[in-house]
Amino acid sequence: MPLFFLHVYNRTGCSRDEEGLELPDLEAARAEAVGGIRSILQDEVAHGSIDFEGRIEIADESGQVLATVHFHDAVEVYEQGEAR
Amino acid sequence: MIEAHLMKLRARHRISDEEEQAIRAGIREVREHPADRTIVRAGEALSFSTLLLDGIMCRYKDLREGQRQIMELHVAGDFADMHSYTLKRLDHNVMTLSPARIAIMQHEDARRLFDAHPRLRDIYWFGTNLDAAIHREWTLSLGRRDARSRTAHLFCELKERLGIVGLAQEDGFDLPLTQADLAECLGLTSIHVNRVLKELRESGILQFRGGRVAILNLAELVRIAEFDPAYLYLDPPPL
Repeated sequence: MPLFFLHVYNRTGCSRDEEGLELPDLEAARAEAVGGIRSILQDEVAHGSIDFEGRIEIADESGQVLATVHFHDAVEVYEQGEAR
Repeated sequence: MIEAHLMKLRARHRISDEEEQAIRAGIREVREHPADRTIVRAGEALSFSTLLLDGIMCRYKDLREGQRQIMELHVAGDFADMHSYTLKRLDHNVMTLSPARIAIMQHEDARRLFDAHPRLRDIYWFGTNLDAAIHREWTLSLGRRDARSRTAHLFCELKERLGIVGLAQEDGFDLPLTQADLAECLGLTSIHVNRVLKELRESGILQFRGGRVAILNLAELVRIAEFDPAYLYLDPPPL
């Protein structure tokens, strides 16, 4: 399985993924990124804030960025009064 | 060969030379496994228990979609499944997380050992109760501690448990795990663990890199973890 590196960029800077994850394909890497963002947001909500400023860059072993997942793409947000 | 196990027992109980010889005689087979190998599967009939000599192993369960929860990490000197002596099958799997050397104690040999040395039966009962205490602390972590505190707590626990068998120092210890392994222990994702580790590093508390945990500020690590080693029963009354 190929190795993907999921680097997190947000207000506090960049958490580089130095280990990488073995995943079947880019789709699986995207799903991992979405899960990771949700996990981070969940922890923020528990502390009373939520910050959508951020993205995860998915890179291959050569360092080339294959895809970017923005924090706001990982969850659907409904404002007050808005239909869902 | 079972030095780490004897260190773990003697950290809490007096073990005579005769008892030591009897324990050694109960082990007739050693096996080696590479990392990431499931060595006991949930549900299979078991006639032996597994003593970890070197490396890191875990107990885990998976959900249908593959989400994995590790329930306990085992370090050198731990029996991973002494409870199979009475249960005869497990409700969870046991796997290696690093290359591991294990010793096999057949249940019939364990019975012989306990019949000849009833105090050892109590001491191994204590050991399975200790596993249950660790599970309770993990339940508290998974249910109530936040990501940072939960991560800090795991490192505090490992420092204590590895220290008992001579594998941790005040300033750190070797830990041949990946961030993905930690995520499965902590109920987080690998990405989230990476971010928590960055926070711990930048706060000057702890650094985890290349299979080594460097403890930079133990007092602060213990404080944010709310770590109280009482659940590890390090100084029990004599059995």
